[in-house]
Amino acid sequence: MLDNFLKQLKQLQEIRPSEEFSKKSLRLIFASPQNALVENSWRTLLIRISLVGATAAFALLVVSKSSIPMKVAGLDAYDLRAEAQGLETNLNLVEIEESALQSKQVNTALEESAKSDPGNLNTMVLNREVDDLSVINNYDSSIDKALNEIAN
Amino acid sequence: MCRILIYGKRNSIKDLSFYMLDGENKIIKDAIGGEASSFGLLYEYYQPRIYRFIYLKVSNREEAEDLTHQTFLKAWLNLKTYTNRGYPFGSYLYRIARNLVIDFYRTKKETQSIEFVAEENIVLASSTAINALETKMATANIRSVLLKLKAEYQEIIILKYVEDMTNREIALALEKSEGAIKLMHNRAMKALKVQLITNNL
Repeated sequence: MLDNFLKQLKQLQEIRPSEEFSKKSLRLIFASPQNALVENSWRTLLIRISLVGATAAFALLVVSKSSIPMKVAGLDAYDLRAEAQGLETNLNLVEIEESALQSKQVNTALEESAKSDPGNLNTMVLNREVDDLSVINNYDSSIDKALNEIAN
Repeated sequence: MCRILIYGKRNSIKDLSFYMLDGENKIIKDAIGGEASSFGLLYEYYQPRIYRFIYLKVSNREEAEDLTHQTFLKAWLNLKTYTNRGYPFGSYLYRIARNLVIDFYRTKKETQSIEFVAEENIVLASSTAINALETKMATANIRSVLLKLKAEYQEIIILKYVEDMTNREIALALEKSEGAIKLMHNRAMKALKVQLITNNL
């Protein structure tokens, strides 16, 4: 029964469309303009751009909704505190260096004064200077007398 | 007329013994390049097969002609975007035809029964009147049985026993694996036996 049916199926190969229909159909097909490949490429490009945009938007949404805080360099409180502490440390170091330099200079001056001869404090030198001054202060009385006579 | 050859060893795609046009790949390439005559060759060769496939699945000649025209029109309109992978162009056409038939039944609320189809509507290539009459009667009987089967069983039986296609070729046309086609074929045969017994054929 089945074999006979399958043999009958072969007869269906005789089925064909009419020639009139075939010619008319082909004529109508050739009269239709084909879809250009460029249009398809544009469509593909637009789809790709839309997909990239959607992905980016989704990624931003996920990041903004995330429990992990966004870390922006220069605005993070922890970073700012650390930076301020570093600045303070640097200033302190500069002050220490300056005071060390000053004390060194003082020490050097004291050492120099201790080692060198304190001539400016010597009594003999002082007396001589006083004598020099007294020499300058002494005046000749005869000159004064002559000057007075001329004036009179 | 177009010469045909068995598509097999010289191509890397095995088991495609489905008759293809001589130099089909070049013809497809030329058709994509804009040569209407090349598409005309493909049309001449595949149109009767596609028409048969559709005709055995719908109720009458007018609908079969309309859907056949739509199949080739769709192929023509989208030819520039067709990617030739060395498969028969027919498998691409069968896929279009199949989808059109599915849409046809989806949109059509009432399907015409096979009993109402006039045998005169069946156009045959047979030359003698007796042969033609026998074939028309056979066709009416076969269709009455086939249309009672599931759509996918009908497709397998038509492609395998009317068009002599291999499982591989059927798989390409129906977009299924060869394994699935074997399984569906077994089920289709069982369902067909049941229908033949029911109809006393």
